[in-house]
Amino acid sequence: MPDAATLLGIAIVCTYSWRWMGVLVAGRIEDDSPVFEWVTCVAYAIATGLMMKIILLPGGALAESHLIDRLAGLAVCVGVFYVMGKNLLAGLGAGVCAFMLFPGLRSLLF
Amino acid sequence: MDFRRTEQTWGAYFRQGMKHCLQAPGIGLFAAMSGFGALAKDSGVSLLIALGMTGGMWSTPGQVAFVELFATGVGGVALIASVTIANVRMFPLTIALMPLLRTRQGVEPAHYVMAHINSVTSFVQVVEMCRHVSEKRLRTAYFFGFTTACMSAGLLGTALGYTMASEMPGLIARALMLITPLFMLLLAARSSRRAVLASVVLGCALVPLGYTVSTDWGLLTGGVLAGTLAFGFERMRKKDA
Repeated sequence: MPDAATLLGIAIVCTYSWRWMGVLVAGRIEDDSPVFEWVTCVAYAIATGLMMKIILLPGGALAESHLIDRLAGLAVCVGVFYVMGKNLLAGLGAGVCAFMLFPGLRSLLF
Repeated sequence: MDFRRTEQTWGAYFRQGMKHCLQAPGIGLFAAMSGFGALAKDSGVSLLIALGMTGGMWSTPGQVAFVELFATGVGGVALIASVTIANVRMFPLTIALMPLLRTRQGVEPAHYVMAHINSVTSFVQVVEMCRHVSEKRLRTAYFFGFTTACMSAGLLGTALGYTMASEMPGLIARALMLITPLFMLLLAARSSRRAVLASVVLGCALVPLGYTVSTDWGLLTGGVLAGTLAFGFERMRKKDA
């Protein structure tokens, strides 16, 4: 595999090319066409799928935590998010706290 | 959002944009980028590369895909393809942004800068702002103020998360690494569009599954398949209705 700096350079060019194309075609195509609906679906699927992969199958340091603790963090995060009327920061804060506290809670109870 | 007491000048709207970034959107972005910084540190890239990703790509899904796949040691082609497709959202996002800000038809050099510093967070904010501000020049001033502050918060967050993960390994580092996944999932869950929510559910199932089949191409194929299925289901449902 090429080194990180080379890959970064290519990744920046590739990412910017989407924006560049967007500038060029803006105003010439409708932004509610089925093609964009599909692009949006793929973008959300890949982004959230990747995040779920990190929670379920992490590499590196996060893999040293237990799956049950990460899932507890996710459950509390999503639960608080909806209870608080889709409040993002509340859900995020609660989820991270739950992830940190759950190992201690487990050792107390079991 | 209240602009009644804002002076009708470029500078005043620029500062107003910066101020609004210090509220929930900027705090969320700062937290998400701290998480990215920690993930980047864990993947073995240098701080400079991590900052280069935040400043140069400025799109969380691609940045996270980069460090995840880099850590796994997949092929360069698979990494670039996955990062590029993960950032495809920037294409429709740019197309949607331009009519809100430009003063007339046609491309100006400033548009290329606007396209780069645009993000999902900024776009949502700009749509809301445009309901209160009609003059394009002031809208652009607000946009630049808001996005400049966002970019600063993002770079600062990346550096802080990276440093914290280096200096405070263990529980703090692991908690930081969980921030970005949780943040991005909630951000998507805020959508009220059925097709998006279907994509999220299918993506959360098929992408990890794809990854267990192939570390190189699993993210990409799982994501494209999940998104396409969600799109197809939604089309069929609309036709039936």
